[in-house]
Amino acid sequence: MIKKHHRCRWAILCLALLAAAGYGSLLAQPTPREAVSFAMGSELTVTLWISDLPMPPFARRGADARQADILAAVQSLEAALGEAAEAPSEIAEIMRDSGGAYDPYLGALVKRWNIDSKDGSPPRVPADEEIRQALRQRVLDPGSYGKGAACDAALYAIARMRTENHGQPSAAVLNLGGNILTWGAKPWGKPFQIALRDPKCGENDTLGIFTLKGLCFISTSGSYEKFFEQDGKRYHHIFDPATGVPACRDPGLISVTVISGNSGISVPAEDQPLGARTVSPHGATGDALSTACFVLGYQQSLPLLEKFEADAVFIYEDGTVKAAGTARDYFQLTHPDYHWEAP
Amino acid sequence: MKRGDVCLFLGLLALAGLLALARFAFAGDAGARQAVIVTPESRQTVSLAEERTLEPAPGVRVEIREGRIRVAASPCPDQICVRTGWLERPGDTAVCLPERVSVRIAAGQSEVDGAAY
Repeated sequence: MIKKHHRCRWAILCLALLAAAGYGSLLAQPTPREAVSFAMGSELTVTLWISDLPMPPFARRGADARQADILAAVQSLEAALGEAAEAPSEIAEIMRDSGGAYDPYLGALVKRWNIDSKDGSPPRVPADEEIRQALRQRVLDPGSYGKGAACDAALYAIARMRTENHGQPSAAVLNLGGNILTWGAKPWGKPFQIALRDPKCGENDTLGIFTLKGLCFISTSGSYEKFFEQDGKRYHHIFDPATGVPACRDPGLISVTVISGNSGISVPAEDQPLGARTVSPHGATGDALSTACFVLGYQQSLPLLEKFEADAVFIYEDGTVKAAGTARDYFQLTHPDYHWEAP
Repeated sequence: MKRGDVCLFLGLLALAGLLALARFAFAGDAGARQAVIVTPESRQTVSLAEERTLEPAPGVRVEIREGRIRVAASPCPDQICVRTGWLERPGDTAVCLPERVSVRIAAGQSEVDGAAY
């Protein structure tokens, strides 16, 4: 027969153990840690979810080291891109499949328009003859897929971390100048919430929210990012390879956001140098696809998106939003000025 | 079970709850609103409660007024960071790429994980 005060002590012990177990499992839930740096002419934000076990300071240091690894991977890819003379094979494939609406070899043309001006000289509209001449020159400009390829390089760096036995992230979100890569699973099975900025308004207005799980890549191409005005006419930075002037095949289209991925990633068998592996599961193709779709317009983009198993959201000047693929299932409009295209 | 046991049980439950809360409070910088200012060389977290002016990089002036923060001046040619204006909500960001300065209001627990553009 157990005496009353003994029973009491047992209860205290059991409950204290239970509380400790509860606290421990809470500590084991990964917390997000964010690091901001600069790469490829953009801001690079790396958020890693790392478990706090055994103690938060260890996780902090682990996260710092891994974020540094990722930045190094992005920087070595940036160097490799600068030296490349030819686009990777999937990029060439998109060029072919888009019927030439996407062309990464427009370096000479971009230079003529001077829209990426580094020395402060103003952009200008080139003469027709200049445009024709520039279109004949084939100079690689990795601008349309470079940031996506950088996200891929970062993804490989993250994937390699999985082979280490502790302190590895369970989820990651990369933001390289607005190109987003999500990987892994957040605690409690929560999805990633990614805001899409309103292309028309200020820097911090949200147009809608993507709810995503697992490996996804989001890339946007829009006429609002870089543009200039001459003689009252507005010229943006995405050129139609057929004409050499800013793309305008789909009237009123102001931005295209391509969402690709969500399958899981194969970890590279050996550690190849990054330059040899300019390709990627999704980043580079997704990045190039957004440019291709902006030039092609909604209707003409559908077969291309289907082939590359990507979804897209098209945004128009008048506030109409069109979805390609299943995008409407996981993208929610939150801005009052925008509405889905009437069915 | 006696009344004492019940009290004990509830007491321990409350203790566990408190521990959990404390952990989230420390992890999420809850309470005071903060902004993070990043340059390639440094990263500093500043409170938005205190009105002050900082210079994270030469010529880049960052102001904190009335719980908001902005890039007030920058020597960069495009002035995108200055035109972004006041940052108020968690996750709001102003970036000066030429001067390599990023200003962001720290995101709380339930905010979005990133902004695509």
